[in-house]
Amino acid sequence: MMEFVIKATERQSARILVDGKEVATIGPSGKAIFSIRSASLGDWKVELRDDGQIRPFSAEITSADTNGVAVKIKNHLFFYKEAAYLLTGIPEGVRPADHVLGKRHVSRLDSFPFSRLDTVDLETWGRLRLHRGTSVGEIDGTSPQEFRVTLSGELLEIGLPLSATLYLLYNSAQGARDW
Amino acid sequence: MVVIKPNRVGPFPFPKSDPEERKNDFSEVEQPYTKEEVMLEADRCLRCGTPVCIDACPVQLDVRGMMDAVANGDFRRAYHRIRETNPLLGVTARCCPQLQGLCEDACVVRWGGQPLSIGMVQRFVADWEQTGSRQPDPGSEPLTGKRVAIVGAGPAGLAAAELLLRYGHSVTIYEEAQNLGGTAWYGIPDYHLPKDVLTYEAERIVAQGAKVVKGVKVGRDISITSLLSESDAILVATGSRDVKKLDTPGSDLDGVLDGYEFLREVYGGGLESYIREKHRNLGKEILVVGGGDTALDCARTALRLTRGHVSILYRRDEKEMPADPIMVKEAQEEGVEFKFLSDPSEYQGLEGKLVGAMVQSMRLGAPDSTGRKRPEPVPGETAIVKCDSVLLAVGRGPDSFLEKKEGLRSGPRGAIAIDARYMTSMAKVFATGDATTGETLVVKAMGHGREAAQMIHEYLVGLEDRHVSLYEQYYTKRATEDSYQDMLSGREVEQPPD
Repeated sequence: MMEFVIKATERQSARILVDGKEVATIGPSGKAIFSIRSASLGDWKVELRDDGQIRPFSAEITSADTNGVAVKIKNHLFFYKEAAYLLTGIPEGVRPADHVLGKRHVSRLDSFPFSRLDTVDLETWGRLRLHRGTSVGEIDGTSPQEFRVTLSGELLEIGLPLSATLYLLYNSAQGARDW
Repeated sequence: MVVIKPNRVGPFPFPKSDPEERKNDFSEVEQPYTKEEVMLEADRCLRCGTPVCIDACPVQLDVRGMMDAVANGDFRRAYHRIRETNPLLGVTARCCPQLQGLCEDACVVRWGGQPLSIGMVQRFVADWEQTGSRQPDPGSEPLTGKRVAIVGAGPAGLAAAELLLRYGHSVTIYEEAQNLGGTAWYGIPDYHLPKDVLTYEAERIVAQGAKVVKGVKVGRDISITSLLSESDAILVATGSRDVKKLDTPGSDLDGVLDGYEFLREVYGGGLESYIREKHRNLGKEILVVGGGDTALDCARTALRLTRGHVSILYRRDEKEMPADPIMVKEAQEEGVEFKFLSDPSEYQGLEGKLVGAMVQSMRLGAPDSTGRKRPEPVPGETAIVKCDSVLLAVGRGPDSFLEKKEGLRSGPRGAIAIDARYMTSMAKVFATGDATTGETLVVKAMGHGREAAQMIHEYLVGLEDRHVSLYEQYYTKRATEDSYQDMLSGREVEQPPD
């Protein structure tokens, strides 16, 4: 497990820390576009769009090195290395009543019956929250200024841009992602 | 530095009436804020730049604008900001599960305490307008001469009608029932949603210029082809109806009822009328089968009607129950008993009348396609439970009557298949809401209806190649526009630099 701590610095900008040391920065680079710069973990681009349109809880993460899309998130859902993941869903073992004020999870949907975003049907989109899975990460924030993302090993290759994207998607305080 | 006021004004999640009193009648469970309380609660809002609460709202309700206005005591401004995108304000304030994946679930204040009570603030503003502070309806563009027929006056159809009217199109709504609102009318009990609130808001939409034809079932009384001859586009928004059939022995006994039809019977013609005429004797021992919100609605309705003993049987455990946990707690407070890991395997009767149920104990096995553990019978563990009525609330699918009758192409699980522009397999015929997605929330159906209306508008005026989502329009144009109507009209404004 690795914990990324994201702290707002100014409007649309933040620092990302691991073990108390700054490893990256987040800053704006266009309308709904953000750059993540890291000497040790590479540079990335996060565009808060779905097929070119700005839509809620959707983003494309691109590696600046390869210029290829590493992860595409649509309506809280993404696929990575052939597994489906749901952001802020209720994983197996968590009571819905405890979820109301509790931590948020990144869940791997082991039995999800689709393998690509573009094949998910309308009924499934509408009932995503019914899907349970295995928690492979937690999202927490002790305050709107400080946002914590803990991810397990299977997501660590994209841990930096994913945690930055979670900050941008789920924390709008302090002008985190104004455009 | 932002200073968080961590706790909501009043109890969490909201003030409620006494369960010992409320279970005896159909008065509202949720109790409103006072003016002072609502202003204090609204002032907890951080006024985020691009708020995540609006992201989480299927109709992009301007929560930030509402909170800022309410905190300053300007209820008129608050009303107009949220009325821009939501014509059913009092309805959604009451029946949205705001803490379940919607605005309050997303509110960033939750990271430092309890999220804002957005639904309660919205409710105050809607009630303020309805009870003596009537405001003008939103403006409309000049008439285009285009005519749209909408089939179904549920939340999706009403929300679509409202947006199409604002674009200047003529709208005729065909509704089989005598009341407007669809599922919001017959499927949401009065203790959650008083019908005068729904009626007021539905009639306000009609007053914006819609023609309503009640008591007409399209596909039976009038064909799609006939409607097409007098319309430039049709929107099918017939909702959910097809009940999942169970083959449990004894399901045909007198006393075993479909829960949805039960709710329709109680609320469809008006609660007072049902109580006055006493349509059905449920007895005193009532079993409700299911784990969703409808099961809770059936149980709590039956409790209020009979003052008997009501139990909910659910084949999984509490953790896997899809119902809103806040509603589960309300039901428990009122005395509804929950029997988890229990499933009726047979209904038993005497001379054709239900007298009991054989209840099978269940255990959880391997996960199913939703990742929830699949229930399996525990061999040899059954019990006979005496009961007078059973209400089955085990889910329902899209209303497939029209697609079967008119030959519209079907999608998964009987839904009407639509493309990315909400168009069905039939030219000029669009579809939206539960008829395409299966049963969902009122506000999600409304959001779907608005998106379909946007697509129809673009189709009618030849803007299909320039589609911009309502969400993107909201953030890229609305912030610089004088009004939402200007945004809808597409009047050019200078954009702020990136």
